[in-house]
Amino acid sequence: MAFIGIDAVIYGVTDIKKGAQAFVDFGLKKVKNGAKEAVLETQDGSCVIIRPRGDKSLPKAIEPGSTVREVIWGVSAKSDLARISKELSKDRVVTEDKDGTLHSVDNNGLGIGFRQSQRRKLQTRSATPINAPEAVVRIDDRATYYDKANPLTLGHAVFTVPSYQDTQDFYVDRLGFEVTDYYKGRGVFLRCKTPGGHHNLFFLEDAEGKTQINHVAFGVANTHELFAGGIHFTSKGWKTAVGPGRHIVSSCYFWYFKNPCGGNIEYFVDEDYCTESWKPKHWNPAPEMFAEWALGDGLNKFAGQPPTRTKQDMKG
Amino acid sequence: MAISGLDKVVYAVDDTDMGVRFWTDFGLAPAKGILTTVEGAEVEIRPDSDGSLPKGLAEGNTAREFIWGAESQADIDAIRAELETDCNVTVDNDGTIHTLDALGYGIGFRVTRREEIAVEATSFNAPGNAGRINERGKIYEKATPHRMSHIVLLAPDIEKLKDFYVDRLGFKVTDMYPGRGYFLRAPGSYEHHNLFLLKGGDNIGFHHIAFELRDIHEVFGGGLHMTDKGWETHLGPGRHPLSSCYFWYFKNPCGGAAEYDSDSDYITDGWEPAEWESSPESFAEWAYAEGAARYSGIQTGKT
Repeated sequence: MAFIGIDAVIYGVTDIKKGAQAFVDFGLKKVKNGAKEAVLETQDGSCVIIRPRGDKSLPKAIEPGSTVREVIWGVSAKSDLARISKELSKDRVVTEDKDGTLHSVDNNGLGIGFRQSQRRKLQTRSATPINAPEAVVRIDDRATYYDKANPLTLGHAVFTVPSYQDTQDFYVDRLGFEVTDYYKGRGVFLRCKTPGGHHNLFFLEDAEGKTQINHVAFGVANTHELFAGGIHFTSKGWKTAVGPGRHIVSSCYFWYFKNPCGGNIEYFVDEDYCTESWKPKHWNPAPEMFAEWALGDGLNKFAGQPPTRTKQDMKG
Repeated sequence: MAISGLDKVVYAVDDTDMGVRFWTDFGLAPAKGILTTVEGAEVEIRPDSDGSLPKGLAEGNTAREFIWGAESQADIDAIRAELETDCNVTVDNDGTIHTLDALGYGIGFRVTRREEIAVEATSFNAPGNAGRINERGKIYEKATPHRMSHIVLLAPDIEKLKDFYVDRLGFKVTDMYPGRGYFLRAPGSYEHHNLFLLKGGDNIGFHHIAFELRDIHEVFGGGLHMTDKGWETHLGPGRHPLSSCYFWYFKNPCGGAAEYDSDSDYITDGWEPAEWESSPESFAEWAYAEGAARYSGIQTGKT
C-alpha cells in the first residue's frame, strides 16, 4: 500500500479560536476560519483541522478534553483505498464519506481515516548551505535568519497506548507500516513509507494503560528555522513543554510546545531517512536516551549584555 | 604579506597543569605543553614566571603572544621590513619574528605550520531533501577543534589598533561597529574574522580565542563534554548574527574565554562589509546563559 504520510490531524477542542491562533503563531497558514471548523496547513498542504469537541461527526475521543480525534492518512491511489477498506472491514466498521475518505478506528479506538493524498509536492529544495573547514558552500553570503517558522510538512504523531505490541501489529500487519526503531519493551517507531523519514508514528506504552495524544510534529528546513520558530512562538506567549534539544533516536533537533488543542506540538529537523536497507535498533528505553541534551524553559531572543561589552559600553 | 591566519597563541599561567587539562578537555591534542588543532595550529602554555614573554595586557593569566602564519619566507621578510621602520623586531632561532602591535600586544610571524585539511561536509535531512540516507546523525562525544579561527582583543584606542593591522599588515575589514568594533580577516584568509578588535571602555587585554568545528552537532557535543568535565560556560550555546556561527564560550583558566564555532561565513573580495549597531541583537540571535548539560532530565536555566 502506498502511503504518502499524514494528510491531516483533526482535533476536537473547547476553543477553536485559540487553537487556530496557536497554529498561526506556530507558522501554519490559515486556509479556513469558520466557527465550526478551522483548517491550517503546512507548505506541502498537510494540515491541522480544528473542530468543536461536541461535533457529532467526529470519531469518539480517546481521552477527556481537547485532543486529537482522527488521523487522516494520505495514499497515492484509489486502489489503495479499496485495499485498505477490504482489509479493515474484516473486523471493524469502515465508512466512506461523500468525498471518498474512509473512516475507521485503530486497535486503540483512535479515529483513523484514509484519502487520496491532497499533499502538494514540495518544490525541489536544495540543502541549506552550511560551511565547514575547507568544505565551503556559502561564499560571500550570510546565513539565513528566520523571523518565524513556516513548517514544510506534518511529519508524525505520537500517542501513549496500553500495548505498543498490539498497536505495532495493527499498523504493520494490517496497514503495511514498517518498524524503524524500538524502545525495548516500551515503544515502537513506525514509518508509513520506504524510503521515508524515520517515523510517522511513535507509540509509547503507558503504565496505566491510557491512550492519549502525546504530540504532533512538524518538519522545518534547518536548525536556523527551528530555533527562530521556537523563539517567535515563545514571543507570542506560548509555553515550551521541552526544548530546544536533540533526540538520540531519529537524530532530530526538536522543540516541543504545549498545544491548547491537546498534547504538544513539535518543530523538528534533520530526521533520519530510511530505505529498505535501514536496520532497526532496539534502544534501551532509559530516560537518558530521550535526548542528547534538552532545555526545559526554551529560549528567547537574546536581550542580555554581550560578554564583549562592558556595562559602561552598553549605556553609551 | 599574505598572512593566512593564526598559527599559535602563547599563554602564561600560574598553573600549567590546569591549563593543559582545560585545552585537552577542549579537544586539542597535547604534546609537551603544546596543544594542537587538527590543522596544526598551536596553543602553548608557559609558566607565568617565564621572563622571555611579552608582557600581558590583562591582569593575571592571559595570552601573551599571538603568532600569525604567512605563506612564505618572502612574506615574513616583507612583514619584517615593514615593521622594522618603527617597531623593535627580534628574530628567534626558528625564524619566527617577534614584536609588539600598536597597543603593545605581543605578536609574531612565521611561515605557517598549519596544513589546510578539508572535512567531509556533514549532510542534513529536511522534508523534501534527504542528504543523509540510512545513517543516523552524528553525535560527538567531544569536540576536536579543526582550526584556530580568531582572537578578540580589547582596544581602548581602537582606531589606532585597527589602522595598524589594516595599513601595516594588510588585514581587511569584514564588518564593523563603527568606532567600537572591527572584524578583521588576515589578507590570505577566507574566514569572517581572524581578529576582532573591541572597544570596551578603557579596558585592555586579551578577551577570547575561537576554534572552528565541523558542524553544529560538534558544538553541542564539545560543549556537553566540557560541562561534564566541570568547566564553566561563559555564554552559550547560541548563534551570532555576525559571522553566522553557532557558538559556545567557556571560561578559560589560562585567561579570557575559549569559544567553539561552526558555520562561519566564508569571505572573498566579493564580500560587502556592513556597519552594524553594537546591540544585544547584533551580538546574538539567541544564547543560553548557563550552558547545557548532557541530558539526564529536563534542564532549566537562564537565557
